[in-house]
Amino acid sequence: MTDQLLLVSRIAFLVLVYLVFVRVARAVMVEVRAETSGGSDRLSPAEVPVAKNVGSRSATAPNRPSSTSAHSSTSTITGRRLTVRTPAHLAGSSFALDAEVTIGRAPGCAVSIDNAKISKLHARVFESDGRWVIADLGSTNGTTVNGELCGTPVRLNPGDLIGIGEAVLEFE
Amino acid sequence: MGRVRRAWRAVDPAGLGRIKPEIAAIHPRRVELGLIAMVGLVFVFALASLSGTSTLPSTLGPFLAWMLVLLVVAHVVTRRFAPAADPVLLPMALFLNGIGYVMIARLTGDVDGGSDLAGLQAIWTAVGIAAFTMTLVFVPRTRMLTRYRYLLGLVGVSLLVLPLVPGLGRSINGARIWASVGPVNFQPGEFAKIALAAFFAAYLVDSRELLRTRIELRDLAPILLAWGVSLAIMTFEKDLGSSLLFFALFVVVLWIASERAVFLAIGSALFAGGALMAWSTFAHVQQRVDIWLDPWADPRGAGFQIVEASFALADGGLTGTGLGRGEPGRVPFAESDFIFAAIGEELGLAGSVAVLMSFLVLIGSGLRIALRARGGFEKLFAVGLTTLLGVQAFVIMGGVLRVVPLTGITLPFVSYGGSSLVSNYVLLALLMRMSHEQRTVAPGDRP
Repeated sequence: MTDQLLLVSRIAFLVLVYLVFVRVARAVMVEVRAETSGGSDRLSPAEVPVAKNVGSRSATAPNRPSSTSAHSSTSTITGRRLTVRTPAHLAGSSFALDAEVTIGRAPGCAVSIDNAKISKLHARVFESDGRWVIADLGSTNGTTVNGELCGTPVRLNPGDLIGIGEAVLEFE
Repeated sequence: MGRVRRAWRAVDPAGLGRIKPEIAAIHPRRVELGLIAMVGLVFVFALASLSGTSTLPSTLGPFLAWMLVLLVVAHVVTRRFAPAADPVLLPMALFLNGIGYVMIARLTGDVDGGSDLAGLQAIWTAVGIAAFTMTLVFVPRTRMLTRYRYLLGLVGVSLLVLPLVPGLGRSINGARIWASVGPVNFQPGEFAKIALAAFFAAYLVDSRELLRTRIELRDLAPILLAWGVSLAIMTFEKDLGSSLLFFALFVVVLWIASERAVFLAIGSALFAGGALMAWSTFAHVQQRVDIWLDPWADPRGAGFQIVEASFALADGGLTGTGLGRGEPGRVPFAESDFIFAAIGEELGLAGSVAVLMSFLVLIGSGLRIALRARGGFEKLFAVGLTTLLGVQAFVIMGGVLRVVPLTGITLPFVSYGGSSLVSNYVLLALLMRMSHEQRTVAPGDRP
């Protein structure tokens, strides 16, 4: 082979290599674009149902269709549990989610954990549009889902870790 | 809804889940097939342009066919077991593997005992793809690894200390990182890193809520323990690369878990202290630093490898000498630790940058998987695996380029070596499994 031919084949090879990366860049762009347009687990304000236990507000939405009864038969809703991971002495204790559940320090809460950093009525887990959702009830130290403070109600996915004060609950 | 799910179950006996509609529109596997086809073309072109030289093994034809079959097998496996996974991960790994294979085949006549390298690397690639397949088959949900967290931790630490066990451990080229079981030699550390990444992720995901809210002295115990272990590896195995890799993995996962940059600062401070201590105590560390600062002090002796690598890179220039036209065999260990110098010589800056870009794409995809992860464990695990890949690639490429002191470690997917290739394919399979999970609706999930 002559030197010129070698030069041509050398350059052609590198061009080919970089063509691969042009395609890769395009594939990555498509991926990233699909991600940014994808949905989030955070509920928009319009999606937040009116809390049942706030009596004075329930009258303002009398015509709201009860999404609870429409979807409650699906398998995502049933069989979910909240399992305590920390504190250690409660670790492993589990609470079945069959209806709305309140979490707090007060003995009347469905999930009652005695800890100074937990408010009396700290958070509630309820079902909305076929998904379990957690909402903070104005607690002093806040509620986190996978480490993110939830200002607005957040949809739960299996495996999510809920932080309430110093306690950690896993949604599964 | 019920009918759709049943229909999917019929074609999905493994129960891996249904692809989300918005991802299905992109056809990740079709994109991947296109990319793999191009990678295959690059591979064939490279080997064909090598055929002008006489240094190639005579049996290259079968090897070529063998490697192309492996590309197709890897793609088919992904189609079957992780159909929704990110489409660029596998092609990038195969590209690196292919470029590495071409260089190893090319070095056959130039390095000591090189006549078998091409054949052995072809076998190792097959074992790697087999390990990739097994990982995808036996880890249908990444989360199941958390069940074995302590077992994985134990396995990881045992593998790390295995080279120190008398009778099993072997010292090759000054580093005691090999273990021999019967006729098989392998580097247990390559597998330990993955087990430890899983253990760290599973362990820290439990305690991260606490790590986040306050910081007490006993919270520092794990980081001090990790520091001690990595110092011990450096002391007893004389393996700087693994020591650094292991510590970087722990600090990064701890940082992501706690979301507190203070751990990064503590980790850096500990690393600096450990490095200084090692430098003042160990002659072999001092020598590495001296060579790094001035390889020309002893260009025929201690600095020989780095000096030759610098010559090789300079010789390559912008577009390289052309495949088969350089003399990469002059650099000791050009087929393993110094393969980046061989690529720099024959493919030039352009080829080296292509290798760098592949790692960049792999790391970018890995971090994207971590960002999208549904659960805490998956997030930390993806970060850990990506850190391993990135730090390892940086440490050895930086070492060859004299950016950092040289630490003997393999360039993932590119270097010759069975342990490295197989463990990195396992790592890739785990990342792809996580990618698949987050882009599908698992059976029992509502879309």
